[in-house]
Amino acid sequence: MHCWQWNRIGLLLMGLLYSLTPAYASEPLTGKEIMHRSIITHYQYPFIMETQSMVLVDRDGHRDARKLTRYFRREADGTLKTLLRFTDPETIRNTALLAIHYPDGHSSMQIFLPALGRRLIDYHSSDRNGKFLGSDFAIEDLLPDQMKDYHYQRKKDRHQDDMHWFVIDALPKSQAVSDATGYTRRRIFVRQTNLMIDRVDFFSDGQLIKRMTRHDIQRVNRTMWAANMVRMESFRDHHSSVINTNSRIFGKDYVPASLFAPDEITDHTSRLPQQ
Amino acid sequence: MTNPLITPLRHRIITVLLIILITVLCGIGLPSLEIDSGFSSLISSTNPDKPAYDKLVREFGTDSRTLVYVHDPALWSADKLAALQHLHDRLSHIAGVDHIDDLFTVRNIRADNTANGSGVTSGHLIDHLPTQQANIATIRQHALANPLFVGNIISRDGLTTALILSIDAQADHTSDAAVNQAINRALEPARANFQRLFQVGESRINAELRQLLLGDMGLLAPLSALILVVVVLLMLRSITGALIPLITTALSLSWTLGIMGWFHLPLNILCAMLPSLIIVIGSTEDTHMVAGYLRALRSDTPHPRLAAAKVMVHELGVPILLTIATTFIGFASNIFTGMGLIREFAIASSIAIAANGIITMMLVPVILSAIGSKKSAIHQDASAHHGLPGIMVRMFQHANQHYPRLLLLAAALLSGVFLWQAMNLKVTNDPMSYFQQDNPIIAQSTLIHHDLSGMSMFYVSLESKRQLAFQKPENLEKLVEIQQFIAQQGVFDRSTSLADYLMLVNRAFHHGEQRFYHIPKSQALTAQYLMTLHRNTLRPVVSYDFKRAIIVVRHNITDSSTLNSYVAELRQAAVSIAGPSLHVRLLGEGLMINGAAEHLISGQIKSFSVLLIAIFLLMSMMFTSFKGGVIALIPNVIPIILMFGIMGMLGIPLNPGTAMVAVIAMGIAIDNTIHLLARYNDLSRNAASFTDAVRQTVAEEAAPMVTSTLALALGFAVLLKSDFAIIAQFGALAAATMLFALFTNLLITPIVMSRIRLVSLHRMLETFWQQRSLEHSPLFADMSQYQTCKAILISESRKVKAGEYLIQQGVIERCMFVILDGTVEVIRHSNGEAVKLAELGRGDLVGEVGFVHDALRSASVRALTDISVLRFDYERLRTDLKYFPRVMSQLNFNISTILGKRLHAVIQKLGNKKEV
Repeated sequence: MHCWQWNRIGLLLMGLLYSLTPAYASEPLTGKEIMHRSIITHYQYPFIMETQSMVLVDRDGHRDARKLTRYFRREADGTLKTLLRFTDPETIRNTALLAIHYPDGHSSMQIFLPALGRRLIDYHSSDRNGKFLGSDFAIEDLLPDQMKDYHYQRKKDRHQDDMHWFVIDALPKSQAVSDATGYTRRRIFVRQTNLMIDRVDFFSDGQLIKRMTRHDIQRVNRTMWAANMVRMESFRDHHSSVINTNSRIFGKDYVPASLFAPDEITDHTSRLPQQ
Repeated sequence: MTNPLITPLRHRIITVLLIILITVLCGIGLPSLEIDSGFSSLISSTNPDKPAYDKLVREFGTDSRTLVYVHDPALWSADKLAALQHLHDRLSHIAGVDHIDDLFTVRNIRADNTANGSGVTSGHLIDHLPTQQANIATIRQHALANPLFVGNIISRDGLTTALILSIDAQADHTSDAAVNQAINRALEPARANFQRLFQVGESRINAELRQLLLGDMGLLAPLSALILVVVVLLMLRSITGALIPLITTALSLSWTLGIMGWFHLPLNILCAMLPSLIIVIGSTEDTHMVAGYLRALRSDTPHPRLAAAKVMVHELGVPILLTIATTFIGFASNIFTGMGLIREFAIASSIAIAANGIITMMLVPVILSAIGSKKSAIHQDASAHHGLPGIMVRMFQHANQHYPRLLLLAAALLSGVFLWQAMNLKVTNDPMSYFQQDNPIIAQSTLIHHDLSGMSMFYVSLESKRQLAFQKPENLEKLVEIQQFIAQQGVFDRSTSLADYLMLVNRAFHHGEQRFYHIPKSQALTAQYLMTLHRNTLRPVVSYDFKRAIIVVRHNITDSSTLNSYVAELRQAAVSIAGPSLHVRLLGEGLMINGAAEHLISGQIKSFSVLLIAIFLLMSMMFTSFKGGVIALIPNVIPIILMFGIMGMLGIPLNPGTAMVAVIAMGIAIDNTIHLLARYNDLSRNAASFTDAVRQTVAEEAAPMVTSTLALALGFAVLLKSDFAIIAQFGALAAATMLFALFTNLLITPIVMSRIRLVSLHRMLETFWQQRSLEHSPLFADMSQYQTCKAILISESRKVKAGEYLIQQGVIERCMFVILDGTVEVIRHSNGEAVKLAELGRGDLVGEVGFVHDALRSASVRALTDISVLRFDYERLRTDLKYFPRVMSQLNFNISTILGKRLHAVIQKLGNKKEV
């Protein structure tokens, strides 16, 4: 049995265990515990293929829509690979962005512009919160928290109508982390019913700079939930980005390792896994 | 008939109460008075580009920018950058600041050849403050390598940087003044950190204009008042005389500002000179009235003040009303200009002149009748002159008596030369040109222009009907071509477009090689490159759908003529390069403001034409002859030509200030002409010849004209102290024009006047009443009222005391008399015996035989009571009625009838004698 399969089984078991434990335990949960439970509950699958549309909304409300397929793969060693391959409009068809996060914390990004030739180009963001391709998202925003880098402080729960949230402040453990992300604090809102994070406020020096909200949250399995719409609003730029997930498949066959190979990415005539 | 202008004197308390009531009502409107130092009033209301500009601003953001200039030799050090970021943070929190373009917000894309192979790095130039000097040096290097940054937010030497603030005060419900204050507050703590730090932008310019406006109003008005008091005291030696203009000015200002408050008419920068103008212009009428009052003072009457006030109103009422009307027309003529600034000032100043006129006509006689001097210190003989006015009067009289043709020729030549010089006239409407050259804002703008790029900007907007048009290489190449043309023009500092961004990206994706600094070869590659750029980066240069793209052009041209000509050249080239598929427009607030300069010329022509026509018609009506209209214009058009010539020679531009000089100066200068013509009209009725009448007119009117003109010129010269260059230029030119007008009025008007006889309307009206008493006179039988008036106006009025002879027997003189009042006897002396032939009274004609026939008088006519007569001179009648043949023939017919009847009576008398 492959390593990833053990990982998967482990995560599933842990998810099951947590799901059997009532959210309102007798002992109050710490911020860290809530975050841990949330991550293992909702990031159960290491192989995800999603067809998405990304809508960029400028300050005047004008929209720029792109369609893409997102491939995500968590390797056995903990390496996280994300490949975004754009399918529409025609002029950007097959443009791809490959982001890899290594277990040691460093990451890389490469871009493929088919009109420029068959080569992957290292693409670096000089920004701490390196937003990608004109959107308000950083790749990290779409990945689970690296919990080792943060202190989690539980704040007063929030209630509105029938909804109840745990409120947690994530504080970088080091200046390096703060410098790398550009945030001095994140306030995370976790639904008490399913431990799903549906809102994150990003602060820099006490100022709210952007807000991510998750919508159309659907149950994936008994414990896991996933949002079909993620919105990131950048207050400094008066700009927002919305990612709508039209379909989602969890399966290794749809996200083979070869998909992330440079030749595969640049060979845009190659047949890509289809839904 | 009662003179209506006497009414305030008849109801003095009611008049005062009425003025107090109006003043109180106007005072209530004062708190609503607004000050407008904004730029919108500098744009012509008829500008067709305004809607397109507004749309463009909504789409691409405002071109109202404030630039914070930061210079320091150690700019690229951790401390300085930290201080700069603190400054950025403070500025970004100011309400009204939409966004800031600076080292911390601009995004860079560059080749990153340090990576394995090659790569591209994209993101903010400074995302977080570096602490290591090596990192700082790297960022500096990146900044200087980006052509979009150099000359824009960083100087070529890297020692100067700019924080460019996009201001949208309206969106944040704040004001320019508040934004300016907030920016200054934000700058204050940072001043110690940098060698040089200042801000220049629309909000500061507006705030400073507003401050200067208030400062000017505070300085110029007291200075003008002081000069006025001194001049009046010197001239009239009357404290009341000096106080009256101050009272009328204060009331006029209250009325004007109150009315402006009520009707929400804003006080703009040109209004800074309003108090001075009212003091200067309004005081001339007051001075004339006070002088008239003092001249009319008689100590032997029971109520000397009231009597003198009445005489003054009777004598000066109509001419002063006329001068107020012409001055009002002069100011009001500017309403026809398309520029809000001038139009608003024209409305404000017209209200002020009208208010001043009403107050003067109503209140001055009342004040004089109540507290006027009882003793006159001025010389009773108006034609006796001393001092400078005396010298000038004698000089003028000598010149126009001895060298009339030479003077006319010189005036024509001079006008020609100055008209030619006027062709060099330049036009400008740039708000920066409103400031004096020594204003710090000018030096700072120049520094910005030198180290970075000019503060002023405009857009070349290109629009296609097709979506994604500006992803196509051919259209992007057009942007490049237009930008190349802009560079070739060599007058604009820099231009930026989508093409620059794409060339930069293309270079970055090709290892930073300069040979790849060109437009991507395909639309697909452009689209893929564009994915690497944030929409906010592109928003200032291309629309979201890529149908519209703009080229942002920055410059430091403050001369509208130069700017407009280069912009016209650019427009032509851009249209040609863009081709039929793209619609090209050149837009920008600055362009519209400078474009309005062209409207200054057309507005000037329109206003001046309206004024000329109005004055021509008014004067023609006043003197019941078109010749009167022409005469009134000649001496006043020449000074205007001289003024434009001087502007052309000295390079003084036509701007919103100087553009008003012509009409305002003419509206004022015509007053002297009116006084001259009115006096000449009076004198010519009684003088022996036109030449004598002219001589007498100049002798009487020159001194007050010289004095009032010097006072006016001094009053206008006060405006030279203004902090606004345009107001100072207005003051200097208006003062000069006043002096030119004085010269032409005293040199040219008398020469022209002496060749024409004028009949004023008010004289005509007086005559109308005279002719009522003569309606049964046989001389005017079967003549209409107009014909009778016309005939009477050719006559001269005479008074003869009882016992004196009107006609002496044996004398040759070709004139006849109509008796207006009293009785005469006709006596024939023969053989030492006097035979009374007849006794005649009102309406009767005497001396008609001598009139028609050049022979010795056959009898004498002696007054039995004090009599008034009209004297008809044969030559004058023949000359003056040449163009009125119906009047002439009817008069001749009536004289024939009278002679026939007399002959018949004589024959009958002779027949009776024979029968006896």
